[in-house]
Amino acid sequence: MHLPPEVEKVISGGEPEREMNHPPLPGLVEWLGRWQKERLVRAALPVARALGLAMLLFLAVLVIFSPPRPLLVAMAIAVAVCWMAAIGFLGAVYRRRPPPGVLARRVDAILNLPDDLLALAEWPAQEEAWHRASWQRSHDRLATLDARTAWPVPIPRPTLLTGAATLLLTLGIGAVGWVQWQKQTAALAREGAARQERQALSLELFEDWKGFVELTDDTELKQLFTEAARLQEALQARDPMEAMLEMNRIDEAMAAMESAVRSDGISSQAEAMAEVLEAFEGMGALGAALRRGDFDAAAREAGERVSQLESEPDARAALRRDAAVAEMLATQSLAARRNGHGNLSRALEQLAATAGAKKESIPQRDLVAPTKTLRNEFAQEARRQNRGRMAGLARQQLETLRRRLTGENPRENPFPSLCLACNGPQPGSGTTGQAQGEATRLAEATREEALTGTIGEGESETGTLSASSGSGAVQAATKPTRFSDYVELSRKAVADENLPLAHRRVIRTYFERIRPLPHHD
Amino acid sequence: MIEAPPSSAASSPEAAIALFQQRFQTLEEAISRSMVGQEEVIRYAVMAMVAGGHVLLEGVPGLGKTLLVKTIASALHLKFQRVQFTPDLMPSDLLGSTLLLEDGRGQHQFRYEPGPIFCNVLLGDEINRATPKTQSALLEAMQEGQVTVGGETRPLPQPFFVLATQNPLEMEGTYPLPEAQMDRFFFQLLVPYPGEEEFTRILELPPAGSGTMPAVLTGEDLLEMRATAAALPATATLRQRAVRLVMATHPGSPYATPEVKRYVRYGASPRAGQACLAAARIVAALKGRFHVASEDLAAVAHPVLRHRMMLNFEAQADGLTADAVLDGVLSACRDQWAKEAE
Repeated sequence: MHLPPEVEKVISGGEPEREMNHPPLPGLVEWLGRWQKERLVRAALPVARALGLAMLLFLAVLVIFSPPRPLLVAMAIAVAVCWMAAIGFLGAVYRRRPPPGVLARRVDAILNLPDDLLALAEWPAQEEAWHRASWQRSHDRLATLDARTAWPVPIPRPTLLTGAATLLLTLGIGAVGWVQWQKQTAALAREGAARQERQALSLELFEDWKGFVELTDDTELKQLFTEAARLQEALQARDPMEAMLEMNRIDEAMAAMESAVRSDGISSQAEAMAEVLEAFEGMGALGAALRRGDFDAAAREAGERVSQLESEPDARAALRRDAAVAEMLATQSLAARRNGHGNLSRALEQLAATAGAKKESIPQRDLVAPTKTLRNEFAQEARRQNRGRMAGLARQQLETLRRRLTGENPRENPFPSLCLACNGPQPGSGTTGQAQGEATRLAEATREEALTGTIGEGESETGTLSASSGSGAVQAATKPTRFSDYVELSRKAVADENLPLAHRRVIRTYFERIRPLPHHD
Repeated sequence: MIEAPPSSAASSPEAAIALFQQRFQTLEEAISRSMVGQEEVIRYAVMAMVAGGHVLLEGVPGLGKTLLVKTIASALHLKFQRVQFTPDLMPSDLLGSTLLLEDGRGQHQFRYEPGPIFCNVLLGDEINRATPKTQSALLEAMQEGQVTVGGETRPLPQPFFVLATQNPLEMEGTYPLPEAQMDRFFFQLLVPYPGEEEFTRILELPPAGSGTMPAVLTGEDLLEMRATAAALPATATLRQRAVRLVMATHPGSPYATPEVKRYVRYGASPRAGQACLAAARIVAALKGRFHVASEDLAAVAHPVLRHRMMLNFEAQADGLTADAVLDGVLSACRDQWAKEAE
């Protein structure tokens, strides 16, 4: 090798060192790349293990706890952060540049060089000539080497397996998370629909109450439903506690009203009053209405009777069983007085006095005043009962609303309407409280049949359930299928040698009798 | 740092190293022609001479130790002296003495009569048979290349080598060399028995001394080789490794192995570190490198360190040798070097 004259001067003794124009180590870039890859491969296993453990933990949490949507989002972010951290760490490891001495030591060890590159990396500055000679020799030696072949960096099997497992775990997390997300989305949709249903119900309720307030002339009910605006505000504010408290308050007020109607009314005397009023001529329809408890009809009948009595005041009305009627009227008068119905008591007392005259007939003029009083009392009772009915319906509405707010199926709790009910029992205006109608009687139309017989040795029992006893598609679809089972069973039974001959005949006869008619098939 | 050799042939490092290898090989081959086997002993003895160190040869009688020394002296065309160390050998017998002489005119004057130490190659045969007083007479000569007699210091001819032998078997009537003396030996070489083939070849050779050995190198050549080897750079890491290698022989050192802590009484001195580095430079030059490598240190560790470590009684009781302890030390060092390369 021929060195430049400057180098020779250095060797011979006296020239200062020169600036080198070659890299500090021969093939520095290639060896640096191999070193970086080796570090990356070494760091990959612990990183993959840590990441795999984190993914396993996430998957376990996902499977065991089924976290809600916010936590699912947080976990997705955490998984992404873990992956990014791992990739970032590996990137930082790969990007890290080694000190020259470290790289030189590693290359020397890998290529089995006797500290050649280490010496070059740490060469004393004043030994320029020796450095150049050593560098050139190392360069000549390393130039013939292929870095990839000379320094192979295989990825170990544990690293590959751990990485694959981590990837699969991550995919598993994604799959499980996606499924849970979809489930929760569907559940939220259902919940949203239920919430809308509840809101619609509350709107319907308040619209109904508003319409009822406009329709009714009952001031007490009007005031009560007007005050229910606070319940609407609570529902709109989604304050369940306030809404429940307000509903309880309204419910208690309605219950008190209903109770007052029951206790203060004259319905308890309706039957007895009907019996005594039917003794008077022309008051049969009135009595019949009282027997039905229909005070509205009773008021109308009483009004019509008053019109008849006023039109012919001099005519006489017949009276049956006068003495008993007078006594019963007196009794009812006393009862009405005890219950606080003074007008009714006086009217009954007048009728009792009239009946007590022991005459076969009574001038109709004497009946006008008490009948008018009765008409007024019955009309008042009709209004009272209507108020109680409205209070009961309102309570039913509140109960329905309460159940729907607590998440019950709306179809199981149909919603009655006060507006429809307040129009009275007119055709098309009434309500039974079952908006979707009564349940069908189909379930009751089925009947069970049991077949008990002896098959082979010992006793066995075969229970069969027949289809609906009615006709139509149901019977046509089910009966032949059942019968075919019987046929197969009977053939097996008959083919059994252990079956007594007498029993075979009985069985055959039984199946012939239960064979379906041709038109049913 | 020793300057590069002023030879015209060594105009570049490559040329200097090539010349070094050629001369070393020439010397080695010349010695090997007169000696059968013992290649390692020959190589290390020549290495010590190139490095300017002294060698303690240890082996049973009849293995060719004296022949080796005589052959080396002949091959280098150096003045050779042999001194048989005996218990009654006095320092003056070695260093020389001042005699009172009378001239013909009746005047008396003192004249120094040099001893056998004034040579280039001194063979101290069975050095452990001399008394410590006589052994100590060699200290100054071995370390400083001079002797002081009668208050006058006299330089020894250069190069100056002492090749001493001692018999490990006969302990009766011997005086073990003191530590200071042992430390001055560059190498301690163990001369083994020849193998069967080598033994056969020895019997085929003519009796020793019957042939002549032409000189193949001069003393100046040896000095040039020494300068070439000394010019080989040693990096900071390598110097640190040499230091830790020597420190690993110290029982109280953090680098000491469990065996060293248990069996070693005293470790090697800093002079051992210098010897390690110097010997490693020669090994590196022999291998054609332009720098000293760690494996060169390991190659010379045993001959440099084995006589500088003092084992305790427990080691002797367990039959442990310094070489065995050094094996552990080197293994630990190699592990550490490999770890540094990770």
